[in-house]
Amino acid sequence: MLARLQTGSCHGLLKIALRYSLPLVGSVALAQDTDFTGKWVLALDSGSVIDYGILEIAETEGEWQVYIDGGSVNLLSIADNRIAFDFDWTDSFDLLHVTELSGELLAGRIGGSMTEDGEETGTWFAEPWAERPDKGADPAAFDISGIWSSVSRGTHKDAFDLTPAGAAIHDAYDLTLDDPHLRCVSGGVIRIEDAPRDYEIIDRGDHILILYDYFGESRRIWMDGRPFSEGIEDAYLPMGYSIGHWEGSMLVVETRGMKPTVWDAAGMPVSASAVLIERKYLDEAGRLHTDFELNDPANYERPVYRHAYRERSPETGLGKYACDPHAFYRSLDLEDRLEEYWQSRSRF
Amino acid sequence: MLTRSISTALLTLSLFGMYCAEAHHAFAANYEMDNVGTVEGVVEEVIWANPHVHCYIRVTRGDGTTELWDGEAANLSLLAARGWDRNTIRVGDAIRVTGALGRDGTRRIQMRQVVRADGSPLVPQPAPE
Repeated sequence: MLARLQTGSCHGLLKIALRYSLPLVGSVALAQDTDFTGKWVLALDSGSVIDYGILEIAETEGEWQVYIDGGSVNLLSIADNRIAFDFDWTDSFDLLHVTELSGELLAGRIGGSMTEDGEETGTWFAEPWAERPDKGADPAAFDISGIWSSVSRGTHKDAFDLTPAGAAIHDAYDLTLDDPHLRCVSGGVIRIEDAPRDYEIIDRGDHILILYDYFGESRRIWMDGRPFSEGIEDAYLPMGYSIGHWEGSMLVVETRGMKPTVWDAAGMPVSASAVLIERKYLDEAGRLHTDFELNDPANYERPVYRHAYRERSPETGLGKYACDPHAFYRSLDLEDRLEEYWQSRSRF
Repeated sequence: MLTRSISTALLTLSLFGMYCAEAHHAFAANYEMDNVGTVEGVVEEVIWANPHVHCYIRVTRGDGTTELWDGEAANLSLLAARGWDRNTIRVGDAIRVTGALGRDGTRRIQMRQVVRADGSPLVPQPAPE
């Protein structure tokens, strides 16, 4: 699904000058309005909520590549200061959408409209990554304890560029037989964190405890400075093993030792050697933001990103996730696929 | 009674909100999303639980033989938001379900809309404005 578009325009000298802050008297305004290359903070405004992500635009020998959250998107056109592309994403009901973003670059900012099936669905803008507000700039950690409810799951880009090994897992994945959630088995830390459901954070000093409404999962983030043990890749823990530290007012969490599984219903794989980095910080409105970065070179050509944010819900109590696998087996039995399930080798 | 035609008169209760999406990952694997049909029968078993509520429906065909259909609905949170609870559909109820049919002729139906066999809604409907 990698999209490349040839272009005859070339502003290589201007790009080099801008990238290295070289003075280009009289040409700067033109260069700033046509140079899309680089990393941008992407904001999708549907009217009810703003979803954030990472937009990356690169040009190599006249070929353009556009990525959202690390996954390639379909570039439709790029010329002068205008760009259009569409991208695949899933909503909180796991419904797949394709949204077209078209816009223009003006004064160092890209912006325009979003459409789906020809209907306008909102607006979008992108600002240079370097201009994003400082995160975690305060010197002290903040009180992260409390119940947090999902506001945004980010762009929720759906498909990512898989390595041959990752593609083999993805292609062999049969949702009917393999989706662990259908058997009431936790899909693991990424899928649980990604769900639009509440969780409670309790700061216990030497560790931070997170209680998830979803699947009744829990997780400890060790804050006592311990290192990862040797052989953590063999731990195969559904929620992984997490170690965190504060960088100013940003909580940085590294998770390893995850069980090989899929982190969404579509079958995006995660390997035992994957490393998940989460950066949690508050914005001025007191909302809890989390930047996810999944580094899994065994399965993905480049890191996968997510940007979610939550708000405090002090009045909310965590619900009880009542899950019963009965229907999974009952339905397979009705379709004479139970034997196929017993014989299948994958158990995510 | 079993039909495989698109039903428009019975769309009184939307359980999925499919209006703006191309497909559903979890459901597209098991259902032909563009092949919408209607199943009418008697509820034989209800699994009121996550990850998805299931309702097994005994359907009597024109020749008098019966077959069991697997009706699959959304998760508990979404159904609760639509006004459903565990007593909304009960064993023995005669219902009519409209939704995408299972792939490869499987007797599955995605429960997009559900009414009682006489056409009345399962849950109280908001008064027209």
